[in-house]
Amino acid sequence: MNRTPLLDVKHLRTRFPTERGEVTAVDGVSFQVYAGETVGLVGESGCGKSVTSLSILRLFGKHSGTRLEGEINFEGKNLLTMSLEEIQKIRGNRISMIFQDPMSSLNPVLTIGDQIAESIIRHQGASKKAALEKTVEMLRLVGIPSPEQRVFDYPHQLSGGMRQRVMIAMGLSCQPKLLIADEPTTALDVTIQAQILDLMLEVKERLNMGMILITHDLGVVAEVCSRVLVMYLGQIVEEAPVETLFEHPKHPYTVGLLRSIPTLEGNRSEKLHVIEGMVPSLHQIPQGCRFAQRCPYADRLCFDQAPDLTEAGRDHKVRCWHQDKLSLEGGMELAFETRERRETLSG
Amino acid sequence: MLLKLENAVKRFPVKGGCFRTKSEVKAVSNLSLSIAEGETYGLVGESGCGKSTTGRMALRLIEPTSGKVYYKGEDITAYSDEQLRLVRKEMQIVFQDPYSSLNPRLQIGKAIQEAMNIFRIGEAAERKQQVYELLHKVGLQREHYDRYPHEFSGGQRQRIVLARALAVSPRFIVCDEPVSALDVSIQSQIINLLEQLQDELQLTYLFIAHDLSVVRHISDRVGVMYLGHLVEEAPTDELFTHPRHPYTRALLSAVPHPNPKRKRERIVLTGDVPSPIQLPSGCVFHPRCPAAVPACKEAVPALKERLAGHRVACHLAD
Repeated sequence: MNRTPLLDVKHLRTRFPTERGEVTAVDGVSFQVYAGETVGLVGESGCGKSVTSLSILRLFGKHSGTRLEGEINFEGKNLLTMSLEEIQKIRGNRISMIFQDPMSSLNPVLTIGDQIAESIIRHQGASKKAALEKTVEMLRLVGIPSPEQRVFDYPHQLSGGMRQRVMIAMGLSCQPKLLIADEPTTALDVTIQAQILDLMLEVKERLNMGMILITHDLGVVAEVCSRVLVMYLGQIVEEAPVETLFEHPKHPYTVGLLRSIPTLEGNRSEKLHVIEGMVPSLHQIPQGCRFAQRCPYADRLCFDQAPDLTEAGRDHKVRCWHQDKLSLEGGMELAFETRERRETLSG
Repeated sequence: MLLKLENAVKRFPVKGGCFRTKSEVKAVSNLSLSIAEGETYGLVGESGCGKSTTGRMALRLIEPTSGKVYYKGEDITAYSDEQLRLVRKEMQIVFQDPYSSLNPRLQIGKAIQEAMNIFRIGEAAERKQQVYELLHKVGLQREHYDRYPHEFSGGQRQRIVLARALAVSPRFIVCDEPVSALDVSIQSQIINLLEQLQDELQLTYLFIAHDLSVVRHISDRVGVMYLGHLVEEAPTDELFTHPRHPYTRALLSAVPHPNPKRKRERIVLTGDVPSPIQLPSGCVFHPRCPAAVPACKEAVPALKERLAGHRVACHLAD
């Protein structure tokens, strides 16, 4: 691709102090987002996907002691070296964020109209009256019926789906170039989720925004994203266009994730695939490959040395020593052979 | 039939407004279903459709406003507290959130043993040994006996909760969203465990969930609820291949598929679920139904058997 990316994250590292010492929640993450594309960031709880998104807008408390390293270039400027005033001009304006739980992200004592108008007044210097008109227009855009009355409603008067629409309206009110959506539909029912996803895609097209969608739901990723980043324990383990990822996943973790979800078409009598064990704590990051303990293919090399994220094909990157040897079909036999060896190695 | 709900109704009174106007949330309306021994009955629906209330009524954790609950042919709604206490030994429940279902100050071994103490199962001295066996059965180790809940991950806690439910050797377990708080890789571990335990111990499950793929995987029969009504019920394969109720169809089409090549043919429902305080007239689904005809506003459709084992509540299903 010759185009310049809208967002270019380079070697991002985010560290927090905790009672048991510092943890590195995001460890050397690099990726790009181009205008008009939707990048999915997937992984299980604790993999660092939300921290990555918070790092982009530096949404950490001043006294939290969070340390950010690397570069986050947006429209040619590094967000990590900006002053607080500068980044405040970008938050909610050029880059917007939508969170999972619309109830706790809205202020319960302000009307939804006031909350949406706030960023329009602040970033675009609009008068109160003009901001209100714009707000009504935004609410109409996100499909809220009779928006002229609804602007005076408080969050508790709306249903979950409607509140999420308000959050989207708020996120889009200044026509951002980049929208970061952190599990935007996880708290919603499937029929409402379908409405909200359709809405987000439609608005993305209209505004030619870039979008980062953070989710643990691979079904949502398959339907909405054009490119996917899979994270595990603070690192990207696989990056690929969505079709490639679902058809030819190369990292054992991605393969495991894809196989362990029941689908509406799968064979019901078959047992579900299981990834053995659980995600290690950030305090005890294994040396070598971080997935080795749970990986059916791991050998001595995996336990000793950490693999890099390397090219595995067109636009396809994988962090695995054995990516060339692994294929979905032959995987299980290999797994059986290596299991015993793995136990001696990890024990 | 091991468990049967007959015309079960639950209404919760709501006191509201400054004049204490009384209204009612009609959580479950006239619901009848039965679950055979050894079967897994999946109950699906969106939040607020009354599926959890139904699960709780089946155990009489919530008293039905009217209607009957039969367990092994006996009407347990007529049971005294003592009779109920004894039958509860055979009926257990596992909740969604394993964090809040365990006492943080109680070692997990003791938590599991508690139910055995209450029902005086086995000799007191043998109980610890039985707890070890239960821990092993759910995939934990005996060293875990004297640890506290905070030392475990979500998936492990759900295993502990299961071990505790199994401590009294139940025959019927209501699983209320048992995997929805878990990560996908852990979710499959727990689903496999539930299936394995069912085979070993001949358990009967009422499996309540909003995730249709999970319900399809684990259930033998599935019931679909909408606004307190059971709108469709069928054997799993039949329901997922030939859904007859427009709501079931919309629900199935809304599930995102983990296959980017699949063309979406979504039936997007407009609007929100109406308030259960003021149910729509006639068929409760008619305001959102893409196929509604005037008759739908008038009469409530009965849940009628259209094919063997396939019941549908829709005027247009004929």
